[in-house]
Amino acid sequence: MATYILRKLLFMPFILIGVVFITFVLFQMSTSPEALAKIQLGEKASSRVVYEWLVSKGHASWTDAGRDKIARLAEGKLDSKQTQFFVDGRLEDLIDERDEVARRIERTAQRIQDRAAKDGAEESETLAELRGQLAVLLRRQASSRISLKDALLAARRVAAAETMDEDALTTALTIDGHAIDLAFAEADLASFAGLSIPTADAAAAKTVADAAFKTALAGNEATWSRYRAARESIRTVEDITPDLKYTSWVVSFVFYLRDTAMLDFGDTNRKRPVMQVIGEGIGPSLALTLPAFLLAELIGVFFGLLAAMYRQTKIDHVIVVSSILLMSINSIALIMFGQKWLAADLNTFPISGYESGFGAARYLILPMLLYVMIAFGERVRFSRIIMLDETNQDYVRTARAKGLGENRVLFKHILRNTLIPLITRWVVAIPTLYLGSLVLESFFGIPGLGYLTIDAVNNSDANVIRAIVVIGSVGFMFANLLSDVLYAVVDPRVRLE
Amino acid sequence: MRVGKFATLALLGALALQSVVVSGCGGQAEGNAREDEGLVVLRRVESEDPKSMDPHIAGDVISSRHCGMTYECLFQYDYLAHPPELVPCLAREPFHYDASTFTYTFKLRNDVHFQADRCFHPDAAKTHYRAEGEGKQSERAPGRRMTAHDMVYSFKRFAAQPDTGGYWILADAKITGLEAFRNRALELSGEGPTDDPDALLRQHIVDSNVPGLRAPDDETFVVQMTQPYPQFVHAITLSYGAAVAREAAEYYREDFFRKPVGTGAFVLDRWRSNWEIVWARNPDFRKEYFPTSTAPEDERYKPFMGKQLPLADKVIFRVIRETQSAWLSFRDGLTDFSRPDRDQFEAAIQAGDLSPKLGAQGINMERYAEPTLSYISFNMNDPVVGTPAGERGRAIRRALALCIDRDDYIRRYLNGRGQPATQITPPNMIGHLTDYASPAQRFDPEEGLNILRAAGFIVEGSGANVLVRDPDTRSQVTVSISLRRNTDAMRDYARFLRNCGARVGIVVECELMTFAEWLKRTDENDGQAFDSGWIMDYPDAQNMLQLLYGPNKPPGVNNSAYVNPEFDRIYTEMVPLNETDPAERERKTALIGQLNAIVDHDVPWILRDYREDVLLFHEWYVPPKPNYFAYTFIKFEHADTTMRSERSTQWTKASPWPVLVIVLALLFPAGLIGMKILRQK
Repeated sequence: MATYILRKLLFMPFILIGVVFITFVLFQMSTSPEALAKIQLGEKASSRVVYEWLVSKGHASWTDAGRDKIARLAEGKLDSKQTQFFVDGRLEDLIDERDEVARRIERTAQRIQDRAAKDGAEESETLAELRGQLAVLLRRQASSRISLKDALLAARRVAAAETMDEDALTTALTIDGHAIDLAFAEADLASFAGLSIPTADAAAAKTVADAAFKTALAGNEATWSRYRAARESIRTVEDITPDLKYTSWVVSFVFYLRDTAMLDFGDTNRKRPVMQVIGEGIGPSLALTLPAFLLAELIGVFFGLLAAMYRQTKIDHVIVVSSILLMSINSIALIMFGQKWLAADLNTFPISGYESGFGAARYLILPMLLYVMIAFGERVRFSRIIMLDETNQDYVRTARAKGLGENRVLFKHILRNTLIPLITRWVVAIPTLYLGSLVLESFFGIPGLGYLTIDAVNNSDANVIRAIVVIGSVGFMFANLLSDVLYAVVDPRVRLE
Repeated sequence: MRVGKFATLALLGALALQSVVVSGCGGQAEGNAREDEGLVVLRRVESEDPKSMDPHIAGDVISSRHCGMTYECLFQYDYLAHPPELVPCLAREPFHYDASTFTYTFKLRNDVHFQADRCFHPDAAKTHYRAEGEGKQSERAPGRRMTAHDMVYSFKRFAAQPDTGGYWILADAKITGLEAFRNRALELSGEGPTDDPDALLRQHIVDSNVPGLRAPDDETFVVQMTQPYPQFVHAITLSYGAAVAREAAEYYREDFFRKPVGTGAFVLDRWRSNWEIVWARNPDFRKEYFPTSTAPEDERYKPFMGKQLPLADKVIFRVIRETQSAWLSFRDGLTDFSRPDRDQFEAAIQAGDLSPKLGAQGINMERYAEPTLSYISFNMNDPVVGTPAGERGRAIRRALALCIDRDDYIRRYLNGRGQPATQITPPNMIGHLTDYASPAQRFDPEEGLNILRAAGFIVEGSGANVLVRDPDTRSQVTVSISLRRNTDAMRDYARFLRNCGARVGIVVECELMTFAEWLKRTDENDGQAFDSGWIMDYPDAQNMLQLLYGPNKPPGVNNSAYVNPEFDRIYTEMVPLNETDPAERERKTALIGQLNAIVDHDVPWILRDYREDVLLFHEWYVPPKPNYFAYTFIKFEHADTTMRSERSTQWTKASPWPVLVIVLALLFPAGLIGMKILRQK
């Protein structure tokens, strides 16, 4: 058995790595590294701080251009808040988005044109629908263009920062902004002219173009020259040199694994260390759920045994009907009624509250009792069924034929064998006990982890969720090992080899 | 015989067990009584933990209340004055204002000390809280005297916070040099080394000189502005104007939000998240006395007049999220007062009066008008309902404002605790126009349909089957409203809004979301309309009207992104007018009338209701005078702890029967099993 346990323990780190890998993949799929950084560092964190965090967590690495930018920032040659960093992958996304939207607009516009020709004077609903689709695509294009424009201007700011004072830079960037708007507007005009669609968006594009020209012409000759130069020198986003490159997922995963192994889950969204918050809540949660769980299992087995002993009698029927009745009542209704009647009206138990140490016991009795009542039906029926199932097994008949007394058959053989499915159940349930019971904690004011978990999900608190998943999987692995040992103890056929 | 013996033993066992369990189980009131013996203790409930106890960041009511326990400002609200009136707090006399230079001069008290704390210990100067850990908290040093230099530091610290809820004060109060200071602070925020990202920011707060904030001596604090801002003293009476010690902010750093160090009447004894927040009397609190009054309505406060503050030795806040638990605790006398929610209200209040059962328990009721406005703000950048949609967008907004049956809403969802909103400023506030009701904000769905027709929309059908189509796309007009919670009550409200929209043929789709998500949406101006509400920060219409001021557009407080140059011009003219000057007051009222007229024309909001607060309290508790702007009132509050202990102990006499029944319910089957075993033997 010792060899088996040792082997299992040696496997554990690999299983844990697997679990961590799954959470890693899930987080990668659901949240971008930048979004994770913003959660940790605050929405107002500057580009530099965000990307330094990404590098420290292994999500990205600096390119030569990025290192140069960092050095210029350190020397005070660039403005820290104004300076943007570009990650290779993000720029590609911008370009892809731009191209994809342009393609779809072209296709939709063509379909509108075809449909309009077909409909003639009577406009069909399909045409209206297509126009709606085009409007949505144009909005998406506008938003994509804002991102592109920001990227272009930010790159220009870095390029020109050391050669211009702040006022000149602002003027130059304003002109550049107009030039970029005009480039977009011209593209629209060409596109709409070709398709002969006089939409409001084409009109808006014209307005933008006019405004840009007006601004340029209102200035002096130097401004005009600067504007012309800007128009000619507008580079495409493809020309911007990336400051960072995303690392391969292997590198990110190694960093992620390192933090997990050191139980470094960072801070919660409220800027408290995750492990400290979990440490505070785990005690009250376990103080409620662990004894309540054990009591519910004990009572389940107890009444299951009773029903099995008196099967097909009135006692059995009463137990089964009571089980169904308790299973039918909504658990929240049971808690609300239990609290009002047993605590507020009869005052037998405290209404809500908690104390540290043994003082907590009196606050936990009623929630535990309600936990047992909620679980009663399901536990009793399960125990009853597996006991009746065992009663009909061959070995029971053999035992009776051998002349063993009924008590010996029941307690030595049947009860022992029913433990196997029960252990299987416990293995699944025990590792989740540390999360507490949200509803009971909420009604009885028990400061456990129930709300922490819900708050974490509601507020997308990735670090808390990650910690909870990892702790849960460690718990599950130990419970699994314990169950193997218990199987061997209760069932002589099972050998841990 | 053996079975009979077994049964007798079981019964005796059950009785013994129940007596043991009952004595330990119930008795919550006795436990409280033992804890409260010889002390004046206030017991109350919070529905959740405060978000922050950093006074320069806290913006919500719960956080502000807890900041008010320990932090103080230059002024505070007079406990007995109604309508609200400011009196000196850290200041020793009324301020002096020089209208020619827009300069406020505050003379400070010389007997104010910060509470004793670890941060004042000489050893703490070289380190910080996370480096030392909680273990060192017991090694404290006495708090030092608060001076005008602390006020300068505190104002600068407030202005430097990137995520303060009070940035509107900074926007409105043009303190000389503060804007440049803040801009630089925002640049430096988070730009320090990776292990201490705010190091540069902290240094900036200390090193930078803001010309408009001066401390010529320890007792004189001078604030100079570039333009008049009469609401300034009201604004800095919120926690944003609180005095904070540099030692505390620099020692606790990122944990300062849960480690308050103030000058006020209470010190934080313990804050256990999701559990309790306990404040104890500050032994070093200066001598401050309960105000006196001869007014008949102040009769109930007579026993406390002239007494030293705080009246309570301890204030215990229990965090109870479930309203049933909070209500039952109140009913059993475990807490002093309650604000019943919708379900409990129906049980507690019958035909507007307290139920006889609660009356017989000595419970009393008081109703207060809250300075709040609930409204739905349209996103004015939206292409369907906003400015880009021109007259058609305005027609949709007007129609929706006319389809809400506000009386029905108040009756159904607020148990009658409210008044239909007829103008932006709630009643009894400076700038509320008497006898004025907005023509745009009433219930008249027929008129709404007429407006839509006139704007060119296609109106089909009538009555409950009316349908409004966009003339261009021929699709039905649909408006989406973002709601702030995802609860059953909100789902009901969503149904109500859908029904209202149906009256004018508009499909109202409600998106239910968490408050955090809602805030994100409004900050990003992402959505067509937002269900919103505002609790006034001080009793002046300016506090409401700023919500429509163009420069406050998202992420500012103007969440509808409403921009009307004419509104902004009049608002800017109205802001500096001084309420105390009769001529200026008259001008201000006229300008507020013009602002209301603009809003009535543009309809950027649907005004819904002004709330009414119902307070139920036990006879041992003396409720405060209504003042929703004051967060420092708990030091004036008193509860007769002895009476509470007696009454609640008497009301919560534990019944042994449930335990007996439970024990028997377990012993009886055990007996059955025992019998079976014995028989089989």
